Amino acid sequence: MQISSDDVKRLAELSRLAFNEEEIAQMQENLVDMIQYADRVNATACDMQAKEHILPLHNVFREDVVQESLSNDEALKNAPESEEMYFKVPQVMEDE
Amino acid sequence: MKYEVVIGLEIHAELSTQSKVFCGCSTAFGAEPNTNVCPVCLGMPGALPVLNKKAVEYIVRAGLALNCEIANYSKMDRKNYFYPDLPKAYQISQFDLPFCKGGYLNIQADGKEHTVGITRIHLEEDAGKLVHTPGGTLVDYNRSSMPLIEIVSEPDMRSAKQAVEYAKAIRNILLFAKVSNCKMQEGALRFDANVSVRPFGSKSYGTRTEIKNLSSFKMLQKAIDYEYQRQVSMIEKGEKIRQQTLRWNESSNRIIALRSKEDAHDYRYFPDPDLLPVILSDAFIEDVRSKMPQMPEEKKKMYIEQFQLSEYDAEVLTANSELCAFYEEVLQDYNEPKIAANWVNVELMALLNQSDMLVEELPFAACDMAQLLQNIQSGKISGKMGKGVLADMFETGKSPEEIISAKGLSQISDTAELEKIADEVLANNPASVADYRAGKEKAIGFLVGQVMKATKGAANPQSVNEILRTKLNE
Repeated sequence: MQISSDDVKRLAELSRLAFNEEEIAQMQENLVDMIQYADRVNATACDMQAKEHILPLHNVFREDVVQESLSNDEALKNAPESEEMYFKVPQVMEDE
Repeated sequence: MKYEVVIGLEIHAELSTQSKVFCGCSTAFGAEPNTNVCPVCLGMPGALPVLNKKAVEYIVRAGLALNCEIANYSKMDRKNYFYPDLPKAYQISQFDLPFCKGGYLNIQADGKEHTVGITRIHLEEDAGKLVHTPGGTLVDYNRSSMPLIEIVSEPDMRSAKQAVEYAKAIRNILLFAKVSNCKMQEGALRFDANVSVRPFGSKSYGTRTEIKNLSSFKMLQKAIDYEYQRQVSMIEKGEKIRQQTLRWNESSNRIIALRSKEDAHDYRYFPDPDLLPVILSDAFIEDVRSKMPQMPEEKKKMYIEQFQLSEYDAEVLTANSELCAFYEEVLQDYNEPKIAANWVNVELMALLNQSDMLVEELPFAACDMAQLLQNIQSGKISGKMGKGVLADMFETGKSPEEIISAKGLSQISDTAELEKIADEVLANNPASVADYRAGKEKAIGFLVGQVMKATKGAANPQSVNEILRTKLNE
């Protein structure tokens, strides 16, 4: 499978990462390596269904019981910025 | 050319579990910002989500109520996108293996019955809430990880009215199934509408747009009407409809395009390795089915067959879960289903409609209404007085007993006293007496009226009628 520089740019945009042309070329190579590796794994005989989980477990639930939450101080403790009781982030524009 | 609108809805409903879907934080509405949060719903590294069993039970119940097939095997996936209301930069949702698939719902709209197909219902977590201020965006994660179900319909609706009726019917079903409180003012029920238009008779679909986050039936109706007009006028001008995500702006009554970067919907779903698959046995599904609360269709049938209610009364009561619950509560203390249905559907509804109020906003309880009906049944007050008492209860929230005694209301059932008044009335109205005796049956109406007037309405008109007839025929 081929990865074009546009594919890398698209992925970078979706991942909120910025690359220069040199890095894009390098990333292109790396991604091709990764996909080839995945192809090798896929080619290996395996009786596991793709939908199955890596662990042989299922139905791990918790009961619907309220437990104590963090205090507001604790919740905001490591936030780079906060205001009143809120986390504060750079303005996001909702409309075009 | 005439154009037809094609609508599909995605309905989000918050499940009424006590705790969130993957952690033990409370789901209570209205807490102070960021106080119902923990490492799991804040998306802190290393925190492990564990699925709430009740949420699974509720989505299965919703699926059964909407005639879906329940999957024996399902799993949770990650839906990746960046937005500050999502602390992990992904939302835990379901991609290819949702809990419920292939249901339907029958609705009444435009004078006909329509069947709306339900593609799927999946479980996911809600996002946090953003508050936009000039200095930046404030984030409250109390709502983050609240259990949400998304009910995806087929594009089966052909008018805004049908879409609204479908949305109302879904709300009613979820309320009867007791899986969501559906409080729209708290955001517990939200709609995304997929809208496209095509020439009447066309088999293929036009390009659709998606209007996100409509939070009332009125908004849903207005947004669809607006979008239909917009698309039709674009087509007529020879412009192409672009597939995009739109937002309804309530203050300007128009549609706004959302930032189109995420438009491609490249969410790169993949199975969430933190959560294990869910295998539901047929026995589990049957157990949920056996414990299902009664659904509106079933109730309607029971009301008609066992309570002998009219089709109309049964329909009105079961189209509104709060009204229905109120009615059944009245019946607990006043076991006359037909009379109670009449009072609830006619008298109570008239008062509610006049003041544009909801049943749950009533200032008195169902047992008060039952007490009022008992007073009428026993003859203590007349039906007409009862209407006045109900209006006072509605106004003041006071109990019927209080109002009856405060106003000195009580029907004169003392026959001796009524006979005395009747005699006076007959003596004072010889002309009417003569008319009646000459065969003018109707003259008795005037005489009854005179007795009622003399008793200030406190007599039982039927007893008065009987007393007068006896005397006149003597």
